[in-house]
Amino acid sequence: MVRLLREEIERSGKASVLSTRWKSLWTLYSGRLDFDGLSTPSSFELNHLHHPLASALPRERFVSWVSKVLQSIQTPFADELRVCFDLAIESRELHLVWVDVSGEDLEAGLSSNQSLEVLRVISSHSLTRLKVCGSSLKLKLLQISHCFNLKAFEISAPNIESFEYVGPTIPNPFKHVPHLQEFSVRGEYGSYVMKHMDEISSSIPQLQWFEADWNPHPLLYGPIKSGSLSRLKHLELFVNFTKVRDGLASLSILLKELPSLYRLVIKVRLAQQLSREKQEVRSEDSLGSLKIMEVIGFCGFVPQEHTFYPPYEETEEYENAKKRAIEFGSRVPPGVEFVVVTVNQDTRGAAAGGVPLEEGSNIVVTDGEDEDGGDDDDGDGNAKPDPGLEGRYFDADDILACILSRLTMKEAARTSVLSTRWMSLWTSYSGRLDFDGLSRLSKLALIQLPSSALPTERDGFVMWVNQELRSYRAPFVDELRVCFNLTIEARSAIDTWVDFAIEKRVKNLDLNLAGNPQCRAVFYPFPSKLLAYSSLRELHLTWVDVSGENLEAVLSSNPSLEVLSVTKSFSLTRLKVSGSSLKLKFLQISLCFNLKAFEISAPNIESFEYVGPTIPNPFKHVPHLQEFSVRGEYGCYVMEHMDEISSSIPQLQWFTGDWVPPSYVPIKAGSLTSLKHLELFVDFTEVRDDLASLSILLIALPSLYRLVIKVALAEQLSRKMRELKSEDSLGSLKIVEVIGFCGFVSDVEFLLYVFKNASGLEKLILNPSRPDGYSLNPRYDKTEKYQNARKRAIEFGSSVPPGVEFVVV
Amino acid sequence: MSITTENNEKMITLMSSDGEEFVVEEAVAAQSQTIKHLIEDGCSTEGSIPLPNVTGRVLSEVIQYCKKHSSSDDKEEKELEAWDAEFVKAADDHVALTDLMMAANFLDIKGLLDLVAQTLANMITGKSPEEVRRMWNIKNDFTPEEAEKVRKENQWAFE
Repeated sequence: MVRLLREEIERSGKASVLSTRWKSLWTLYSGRLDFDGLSTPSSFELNHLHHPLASALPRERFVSWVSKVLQSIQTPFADELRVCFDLAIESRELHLVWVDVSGEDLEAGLSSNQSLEVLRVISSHSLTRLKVCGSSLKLKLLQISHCFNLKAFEISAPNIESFEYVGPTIPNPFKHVPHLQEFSVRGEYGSYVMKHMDEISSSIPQLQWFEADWNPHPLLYGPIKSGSLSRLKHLELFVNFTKVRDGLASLSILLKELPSLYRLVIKVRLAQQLSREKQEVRSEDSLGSLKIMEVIGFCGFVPQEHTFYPPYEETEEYENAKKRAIEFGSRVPPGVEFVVVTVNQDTRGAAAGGVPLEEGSNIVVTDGEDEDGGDDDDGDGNAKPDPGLEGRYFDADDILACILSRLTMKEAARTSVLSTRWMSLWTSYSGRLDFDGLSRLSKLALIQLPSSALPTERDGFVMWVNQELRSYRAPFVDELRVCFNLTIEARSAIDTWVDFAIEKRVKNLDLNLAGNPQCRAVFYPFPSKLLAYSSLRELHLTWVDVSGENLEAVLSSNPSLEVLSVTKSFSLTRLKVSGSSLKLKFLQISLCFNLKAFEISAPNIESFEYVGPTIPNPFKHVPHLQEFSVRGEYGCYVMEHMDEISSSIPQLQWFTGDWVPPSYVPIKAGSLTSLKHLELFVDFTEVRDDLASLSILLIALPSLYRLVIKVALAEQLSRKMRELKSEDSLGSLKIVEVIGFCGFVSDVEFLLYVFKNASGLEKLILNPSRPDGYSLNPRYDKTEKYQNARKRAIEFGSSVPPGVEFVVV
Repeated sequence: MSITTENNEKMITLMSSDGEEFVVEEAVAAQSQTIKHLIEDGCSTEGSIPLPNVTGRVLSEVIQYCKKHSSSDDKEEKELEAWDAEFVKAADDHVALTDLMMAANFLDIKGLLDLVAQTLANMITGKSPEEVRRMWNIKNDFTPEEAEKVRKENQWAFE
């Protein structure tokens, strides 16, 4: 079995007598726990057999020595444990708590110790696989708790009667357990068991006693076949009544399938304890065999590990619950014995060593003593850290997870170092998973990165995302964003991320694989798996090779898709967005340079942004389009065909475009009567020095409220200030903003024109910074050019008419 | 007890854990999905609805929120946002907010839950782990080695 150096643990044990401090230190000993009763039997006897009773029973002495030491050890991780003694005959129970024991050790122990009846293993990190197997095993009770590395477990024991398990998910472990009567499962694995109840129950049809977490979500319960648990008599469920209806409906489905159910114990955790009403209503389902029902945590009490207040029985809440429990007696049908368990000082004192609240927390409705109330959770209660004040404030993990998921991913990840509880909480973060490797590296750095360094950066990024996604436990994730320069080489990794998104029912998916303009690699092709997915609300694709057919398929299979943006797809040559039931509200197509044909007919679309090659008027049926933004090559076309295009979207309220004076063909009066907000990128240069035609556009917009001029290019013209005709009326214009103001002849001239014609002007904003995307110098505001422009902007204030608010940004 | 006022508004009575009673319009209380289900199940006809997880102080705040949100329509969205901001500000500290959050969770009032959760989340944002631990009385139960390991695993978040 196990072999260790005796001296070490002995010497450490001896140190415990040095002082009280050393005494408690000793319990933190984490070296080799060596209980070797074989190699030095004489010294063992000399040291330990002085007691007359014990001397006759060296084995029991040994066992009690080991048990005593192990119980006192508090250290969370012991490096090694070896118990070396012949335990073959008398030893019937072995409890290993915080003992790092492997599956092989346990298997060897079981095979050499045929009389072992009780085996408890709690918190062993070395236990990764275990096969309890042997036709002559006497083992009756097996408990495996908190062994978080357990991956494979199998049990085939003819005499086993009881199995308790808390820990990670393992497939159905039962091979041959003809006498298994009690099965208790808690924690993560509880959900799995509920989901696979059908399969598991068929391996243990003789089960009489079952304890588990009841997850009321109907999706998480796989109904058992009728008759598969026909002998189950005692059912204990930890219930979280947060969704009253779902929970009870499926709970009654479970209960109905249990023809022998004799005693039902409901342990109410959080939430809506008043669902008892519902439960009574539902009892008309045939539960003929049910004789005893016990509700722990009746009226909102939160049992056990979910306690807010350590002395709960002293609170008013408890008193109220007790009162209501007693009152409830009047509703109990005649003939049913009714018991309300109340606290008495003695029971609490007696239970103090284990779980102090246990006895007091039980409120029994109807007949029966409650000694079984919650004994099964003792291991649980002991192993869990004291909730402390944190437990008071934040009781349930789902509340914490709720707060956590509202943080950014980075902030949430930072909470993992707070404590072990927060560490595991972090893995259930369900907020926005934002893997932004670009901002991490900074876009500029990526462009300047020597091409030899890029593959390393890519590998690092892929590894990071893979690792994080693997550790996520949240069943659902709303948003996944991946942003890094990745090409087809990373295809298999990206595919798994897409799989993750589908599995977690992601609503917003953003694949931004851009970054390096010099990179001429083959781009990641649109993952075909997404075509069959239907839960998307937003889809953003950048540098993903997606075709028009792909997008059309996505649109038709995702009825709730509201936002679609596609940037830099070279396979996108033609696209028809069309469908009377489309929810699509926002569409962006940018820099898809091979696009030749595009058509949009979407009843709900509100905003359309386009940068790219020229396409004819794409609007077929867009009755709710309010915002239209167009840039680049297509901008000229739109200006040229403004008349035609505007007549397809008369309801437009917001337009952003390039002002290209020579190509502008005046719109018909009254065709853009709703337009309120106009943003124009303007060149104030010799070539484009044509305010006359801009004024023609402005006066055709009767509702124009805000005008934003973004000066894309400007040069100081040598000509004198001209005065434009001043009888135009821009009556509705209230706000004018010039971004990129230089104070040159042309922009000053334009503003003077506005003052003369916009009688209702309220506000003028001058911003000497360059408009977005037009300054290559990130520190433009430090240049002399900027300073001069700013000076001229302030000086311009003297020309502003009184009554107009003047702001220089 | 169902009472009907002159305006024909159905009133119901809620009872907090400390026995305080609140009479509110059914439409106001029904913003809580929990209470809504209870009303549908006919629980409100037998007297006051007991809410044993919620103290009177917290319940009065919750009702204040529900009243505001049942009387406002969409047009006042901006105003409502400002009101919400004031409302959580008035809750003062994270302890009060946490009580409010527990109540919102129990009563299943999505808007309030979102609001309070976001406020609490904002309180963590930008704080060092030590500050967050102090604020919420979180006991650091890592050994230095474990702490180092966890930090290493999530190194990207600390850059």
